[in-house]
Amino acid sequence: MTAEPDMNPPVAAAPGASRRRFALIAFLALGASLALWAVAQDAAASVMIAQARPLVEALAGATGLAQSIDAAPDGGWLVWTGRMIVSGPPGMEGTTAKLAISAEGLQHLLRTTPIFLALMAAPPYGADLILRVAAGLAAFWLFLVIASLAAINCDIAIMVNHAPSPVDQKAPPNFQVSARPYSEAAFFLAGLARYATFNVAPFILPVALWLALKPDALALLMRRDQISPSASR
Amino acid sequence: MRLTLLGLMTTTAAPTPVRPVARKASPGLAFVLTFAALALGGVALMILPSVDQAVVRPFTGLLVDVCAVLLNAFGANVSSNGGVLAFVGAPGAVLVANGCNAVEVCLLLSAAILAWPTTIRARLIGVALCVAAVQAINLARIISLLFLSRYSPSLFDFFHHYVWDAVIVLDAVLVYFFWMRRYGALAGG
Repeated sequence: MTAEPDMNPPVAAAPGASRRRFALIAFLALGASLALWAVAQDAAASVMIAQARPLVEALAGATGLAQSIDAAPDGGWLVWTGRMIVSGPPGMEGTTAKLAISAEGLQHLLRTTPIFLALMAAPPYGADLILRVAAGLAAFWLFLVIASLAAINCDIAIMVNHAPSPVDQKAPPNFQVSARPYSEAAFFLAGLARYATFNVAPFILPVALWLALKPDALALLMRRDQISPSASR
Repeated sequence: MRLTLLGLMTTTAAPTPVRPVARKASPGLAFVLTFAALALGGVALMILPSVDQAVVRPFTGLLVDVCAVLLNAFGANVSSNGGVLAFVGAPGAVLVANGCNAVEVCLLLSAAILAWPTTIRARLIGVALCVAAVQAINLARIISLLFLSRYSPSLFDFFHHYVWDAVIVLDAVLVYFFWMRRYGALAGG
């Protein structure tokens, strides 16, 4: 007869207490990360936006959305579409159409970064926390690339079709370009993609990344309250 | 009811008895795919001009009206007009546009609740509970932004874009996990 291993090892802390600790630290960390973001958002977001531009430019070029993307003085982007203006105000005809993507709009995509940081700062703490936070920030950067491509595609659809956005009624520019218009379905999908990336995805992203990078947190929040074996003896 | 994406049961036609080959997808994957389909479908429906005119804009106007009623009940002199909530005879006003009505967060929460494998009753309770919780916070958000527009315009943008978005997401996460712990396991999900 051999000694059986303990199948019910003592739990370090009661689930209820762990959840309260999680909520308290997440709340405090949210305050701290929002304060940090208020001070450093221009610098932090500018770095991410500047680093995203070459990749967006390459992808936009490869997909035929744009020829090149320059940095604008305000920190935003100037998108050279390569589409020729065929009618518009005097002096514009024969020139290439360009689009401005404001820095404010690009920063808006990163507005839920403090939530991600706060959730990651809350317990439980596993190995490689810093690495996981860095991976999450890289995912935010990748999201910035995808969302800005969606924004460029939607602006080009509005410009080429010379019709208001089907989603937010954004008005077309005061000129027309020579290009094949988007089909009705493609025009709607362009609006849907921009709406989803600007107004919906930023709410999911921090929570999804937190759950993916910290699966222990989900286990902690879902653990049933029960008397620990050590306490029941 | 348990949702499985590829929960197909197949049998071979061999003469000897064989064990059925069960091929089940991860419940996690099924949840993610169902959630994504519901969320994307909901957003696509919501942005249709007809739905926007018939549902979203009237709902936004209703939020503004409720804010006005609440504030006037506490002695503030405010008026609501469409999506605009404003102090009467004093500076300070907010325009509640699409994107400021928390409809997107409610839609995401509802999609997450409906995608979770539990009973219909638990899902309906979850949708009602979560929408109420998020919209209660959103009313506080609109009212606070109205006062910020009057007394501290420099803080308005930061609170509008960052603080309240963060609070609403945290509120949504907490109420969702509360619902999952309270009701989510009714069907053994």
